Amino acid sequence: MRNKKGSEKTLSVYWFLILGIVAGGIFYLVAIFYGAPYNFRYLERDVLMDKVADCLVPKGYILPDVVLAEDKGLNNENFLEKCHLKFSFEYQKEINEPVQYFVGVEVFSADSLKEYYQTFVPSKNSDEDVDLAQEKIQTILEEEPIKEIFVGNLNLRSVSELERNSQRNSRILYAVSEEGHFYLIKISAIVGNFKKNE
Amino acid sequence: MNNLKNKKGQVGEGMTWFVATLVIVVFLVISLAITKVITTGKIKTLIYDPATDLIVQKSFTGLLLSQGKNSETIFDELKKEELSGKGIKELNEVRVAKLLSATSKSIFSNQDLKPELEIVTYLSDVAERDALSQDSICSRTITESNYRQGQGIERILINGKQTIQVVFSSRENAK
Repeated sequence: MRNKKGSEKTLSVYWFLILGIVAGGIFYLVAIFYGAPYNFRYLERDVLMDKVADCLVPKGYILPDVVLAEDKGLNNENFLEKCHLKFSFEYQKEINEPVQYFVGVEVFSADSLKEYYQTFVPSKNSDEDVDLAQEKIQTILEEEPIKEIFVGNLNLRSVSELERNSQRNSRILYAVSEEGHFYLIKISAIVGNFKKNE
Repeated sequence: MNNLKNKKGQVGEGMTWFVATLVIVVFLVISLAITKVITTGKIKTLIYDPATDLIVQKSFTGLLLSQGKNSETIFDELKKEELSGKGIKELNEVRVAKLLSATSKSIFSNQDLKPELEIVTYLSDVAERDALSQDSICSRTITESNYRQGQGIERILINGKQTIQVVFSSRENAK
């Protein structure tokens, strides 16, 4: 009985040792697993594009502000406020870090598509029709936009040129106004923090 | 000698624990090494993968609201064509999806539509939100409970009278 008491003491040391090893192992595993950096840039960019799209075309129709003259409607100064976006944060100001976001909105008048829609018969949509519309859209996008809004860090545009081929930084949104006008809106969004994600 | 004989059981138990400790340590070291190799130097890039593509969804709704012949919307034309052709208040959902995806191809020619985000569209022509099933022109009556997870819904009031409801779903969700 006396001898057994001694062995229990020895074993309790082992117990603590094993518990320590297992707890330490779990801690280290979690640390190295979650310690790997996450690159949220593309996710942020796509969410940003969605937010902008939702702001410009909230309920099916384009917001009248988008196509109004710059002094009355949406412009570089009021875009962030109207779309409820915030690009600069206190901690960045403290360390003098530049804004890490860029958003560009280019609005093109697409009324020339009207002609296409006049002859559009849903059930007789042929390949020629599709080619014609594609051609028209390309022509519209090569024309001068009726409105341009660029907010955030404009320098990101040039940096981002390098990765433009591999990443989708701009997309086209098709919208109509309640008055029956057609628009193509090119939404560009770039999220910086390049060095942190190399 | 006699003493050692008496402690045989204890030594055996101690040895068991010792071996068990070694096994645990070896097991941990192996799993740590594997995890380290897998994760070291890798940045995890997260991709936004919504169930439906909002920009395509909005463009598509815009397409339905575009005025076509006789100042009628494409939605109206679709509806009329289907109603006159079949004489019943049903729109074949497969046909609509086919028609609209063909049209959308032209509108979205310069952007990549992921195959898994191919749009399945249900149209509902309703006067009120609560009357979804009353004047539905889709082959499936859509009520709130029918919505599956991952679908996007656009509801647009036209001329203060007619509400179009378009439900977007990826093929994956539609299965």
